[in-house]
Amino acid sequence: METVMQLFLTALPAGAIYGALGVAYVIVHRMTGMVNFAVGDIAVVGAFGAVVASAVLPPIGAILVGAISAGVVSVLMYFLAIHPLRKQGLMVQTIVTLGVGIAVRSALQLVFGTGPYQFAPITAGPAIEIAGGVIYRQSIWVVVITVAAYIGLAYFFNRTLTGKALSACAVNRYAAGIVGINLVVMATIAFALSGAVAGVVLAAQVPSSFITIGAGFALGLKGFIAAILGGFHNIGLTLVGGFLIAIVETLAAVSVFTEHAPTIVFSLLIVLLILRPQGLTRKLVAERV
Amino acid sequence: MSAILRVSNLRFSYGRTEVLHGVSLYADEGEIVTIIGPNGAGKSTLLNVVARSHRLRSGEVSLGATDTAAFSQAAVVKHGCVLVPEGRQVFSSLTVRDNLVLGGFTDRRANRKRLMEDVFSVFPRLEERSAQLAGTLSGGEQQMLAIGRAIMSQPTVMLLDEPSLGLAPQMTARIMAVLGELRERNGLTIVLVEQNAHAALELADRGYLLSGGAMVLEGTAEKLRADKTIQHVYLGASPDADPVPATG
Repeated sequence: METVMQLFLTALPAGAIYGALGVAYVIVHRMTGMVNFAVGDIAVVGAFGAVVASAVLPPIGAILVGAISAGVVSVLMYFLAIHPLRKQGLMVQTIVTLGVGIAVRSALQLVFGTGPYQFAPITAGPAIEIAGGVIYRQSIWVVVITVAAYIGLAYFFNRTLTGKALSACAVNRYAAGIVGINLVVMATIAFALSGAVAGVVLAAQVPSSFITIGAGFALGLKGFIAAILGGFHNIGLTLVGGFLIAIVETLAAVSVFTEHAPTIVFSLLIVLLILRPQGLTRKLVAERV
Repeated sequence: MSAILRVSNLRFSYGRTEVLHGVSLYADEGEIVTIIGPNGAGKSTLLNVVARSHRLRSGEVSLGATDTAAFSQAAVVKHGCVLVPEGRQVFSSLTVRDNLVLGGFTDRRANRKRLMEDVFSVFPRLEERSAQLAGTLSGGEQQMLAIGRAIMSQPTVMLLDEPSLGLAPQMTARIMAVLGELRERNGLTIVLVEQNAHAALELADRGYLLSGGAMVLEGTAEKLRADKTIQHVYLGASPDADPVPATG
């Protein structure tokens, strides 16, 4: 029982990060139809933004700065690399995001070296024991911030006019234009939100572990799997998907396959894509034409 | 009376293929104007350029006294000109209510509740289905929703692209009747592109025949109904039929 609890508590913050990164993919994909593989590296920008800000701000302020910096870089990426290629099609745009990821990583490395970096947790103190398992205080913050981001996004998409307009773009871009929704403005909002969500959660994670320049790529791939589990559409299921990935990874790590945890996660991705291309969602989203 | 919509010498190309060769038309306030013509004549393209779903490259489109050359799609809607596109193009995975709300996207200060009540009074069916996803509606209901969504932007000019497409004759009659009502009630100007020339010419005050990217005929609906070519090709009369407006 205690082992199970510990497994759960270890997987929870990791799953929150994978889920948040998955959500970052989903937000951009819903709006534009493209896959932004730079999400992981943009999250790392957020983490480093927080590291820098932590020199002058308390941890919570530093994490907010992290969110903003990742959001800004994400928007810059849209205007510098994605928008100019709007006539080239989604495949070209998607491939370019891989290049942007590498560029961002290299730029961070020039400024910061390879790391690792850390800053103080929001709440100081020893790890907390829950039902025989232990969890860092900061990890609880990671989960809280992820849930808060989810609630905020759900409210935004379901209750606000701008959020509904974003959903409308995802459903039918042509019709969205016809009712007077500006697609560039909506894409800007989507990229800003995507970057901010990825950035805030990874920044929140920094105090309980470390952040290194190279962390983005592997994190981004796990976020990608989470997004697939969410059918690249459903934000809630993407978070659940992130948690499932973390469970599998944690199980693999404590079993005999310790060194092969990533291999197991990615093998599962392949099996999953074959068996359930729609992820955890009930059905593939079909468009009536 | 001055024209509320005026299109002058409009040209449009897909790549190197010019599909509109200098088309001109106008619509006066409160008028119903129809554009009929064969498939591929450029009717949809024309409406899409006016609504700025397609870029305006050559020619002029003005709304009232305002030249729309520099207008974005949103600006055209804000200036009271809205497109009800071919194939309805509702937001299928959003609710009927959200579809309507988004119709009023360009005017955030508008009284959306009152506008929606207006739409529901025209289409009571939409009120019954307001919580349903738009994709689950029937073709006719989706057409009502597409028109309702357009009403939400408080237009002065409504461009309709083949509203009768795929609808049963009864539903087509209902939609046409609603268009007439909207003109009476709101003084709406309507530009109606139709394959169903019969229904369109019944409703319209004036009409144009667009063929091969050029206006080949224009005049009052009565005149067009009496035209031999139109009777033969578009109204399904035999070549030697009596040139009297077909009815029924």
